[in-house]
Amino acid sequence: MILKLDKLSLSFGGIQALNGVSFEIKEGELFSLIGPNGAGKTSVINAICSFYKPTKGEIYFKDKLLNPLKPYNITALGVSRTFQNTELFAGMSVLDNIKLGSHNRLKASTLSGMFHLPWAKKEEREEEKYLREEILKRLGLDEVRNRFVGTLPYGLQKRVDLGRALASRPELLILDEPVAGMNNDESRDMVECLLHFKKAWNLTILLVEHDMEVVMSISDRIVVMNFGQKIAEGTPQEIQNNEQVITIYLGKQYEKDVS
Amino acid sequence: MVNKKSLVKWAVIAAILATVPLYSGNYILSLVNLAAIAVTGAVGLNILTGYTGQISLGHAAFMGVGAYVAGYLMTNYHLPFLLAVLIGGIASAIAGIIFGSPSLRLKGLYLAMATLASQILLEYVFKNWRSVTGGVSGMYIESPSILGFSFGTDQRFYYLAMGFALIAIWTASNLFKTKTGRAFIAIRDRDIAAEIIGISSFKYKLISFAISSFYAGVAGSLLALYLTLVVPESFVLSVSIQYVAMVIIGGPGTIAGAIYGAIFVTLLPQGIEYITNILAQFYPMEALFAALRDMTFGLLIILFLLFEPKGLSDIIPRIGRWFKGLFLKKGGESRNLSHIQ
Repeated sequence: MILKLDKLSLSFGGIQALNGVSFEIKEGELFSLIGPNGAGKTSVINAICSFYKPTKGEIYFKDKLLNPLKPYNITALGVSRTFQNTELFAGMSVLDNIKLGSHNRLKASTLSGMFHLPWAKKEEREEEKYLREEILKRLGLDEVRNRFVGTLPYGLQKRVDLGRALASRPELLILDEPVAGMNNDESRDMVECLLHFKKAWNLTILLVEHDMEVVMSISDRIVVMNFGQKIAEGTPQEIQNNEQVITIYLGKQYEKDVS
Repeated sequence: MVNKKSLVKWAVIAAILATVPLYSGNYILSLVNLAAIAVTGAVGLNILTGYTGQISLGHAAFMGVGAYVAGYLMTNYHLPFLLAVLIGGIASAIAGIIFGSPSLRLKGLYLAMATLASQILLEYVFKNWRSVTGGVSGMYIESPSILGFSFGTDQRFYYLAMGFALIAIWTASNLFKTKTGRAFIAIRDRDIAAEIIGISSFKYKLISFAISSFYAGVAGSLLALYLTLVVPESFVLSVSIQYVAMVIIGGPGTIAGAIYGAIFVTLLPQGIEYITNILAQFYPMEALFAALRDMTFGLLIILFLLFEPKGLSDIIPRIGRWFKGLFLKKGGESRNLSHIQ
């Protein structure tokens, strides 16, 4: 068990965003979280990242309780995420954005960096080499690595966001709508990249996505949420045949398309 | 990588910098020295304000802490001046951490108010802790010397001020090639996202305050050594505002901007004085000089914020390209476009 949510509840003032959500993700799994807008999917992610503090319930990553930690400690444990709206640092190049992902891996002190001391320089150079070889080239970003992220098309920005999440060498990668707003080709390339990294780096992935074609084709297991509650859990097959899920989220049309 | 062309460029710059005192008069040289000290201070404030996005109206007070500590150590304990400057910088960094830490929960306008409070508080200490600071009349210190070699003249002090300015520029530009510098920019651009990808914004804001104040302390100590006098007037609020003006006019978040801004703001009062002197022949306005100076700074900050938020660091290359375009016509232009993209 790499991640465990135990009866997680979260409320903002009078609004109950999450209500007793529990699920477990096994190591190496591609686990998807689906549901209508406002169901609480992004709230689950924000709670795992310790950005929202749960009002009740616990979150464990590899048997370590995450609740009391600060957001910046979570990354160091081996959890990283992408964002629905990319959240890139506009004033920096593609390479620097991705380097920020490996922030916690770089050990050289501030002073040794300011005085360009050999070990700081070496560490920086080696990290850059690794990131370019293993991440930028694979994501097709090496050519544009020195451009400001703001000047890139949306599809590439999504890749930079993914690259930044990968740069921290996570064990659990959380993806918040990685193919949203992409056309079919871009979406297929993105899924290909994801599957490559999952296999090569032995990643566990928690995926939030509205594109049902993608979700159903690559997920091992799926949890469906509605109004802050879990309403179903199972394999893609089971979810597609679940009456309640079809009524609430997938719709009659989807049922016909699949059959 | 160092290619032949940039090597030549740097050699020319080094040759010019090394020979400035040989052909400059004392008046020009005194301005150059003040500008070089301002560069050290402005590079420091730019790290905090331009790169980390934290406004500070207390920069002059942190310069003052460095100046008084260095001056006190030199006068009372006869410490070598380089050591005194270093300790002055460290004292400022500590002051920056102390006064910065309550400010770290505040943003924008509220942070400006909190740093303003530290400016006023420290100014009060400078004026009233007479046994240490000498009060309003200040503290006299010897001009700096190493092994009997005195930096007492403008010509000699130039190498000291320029040396420190170059070290400040070099270390600051290295900083932004490392994780700490990147973390600063990340906090400026999106503090919440920075936190989630693993950067403690509290820790890095504090580091930014410390580094920025260290530069301020060094600049303040240098100013004290140059004037051989530490008085509270050198470190009042309007000086803090001048430093904010340097960052904004020069171009926040660029090393070159801090340099341009520091030079511009140091020379501006001289320009204004020159113009008021001419105008004074027709209408007596010597008394207005101070007011005119402050008004011009205010106006320039507003105009730059409105029309040129990237400051001189954006304008100067643009003028350069325009000149290049005049001489090179088409060829130069296409190269400029590729640079922009």
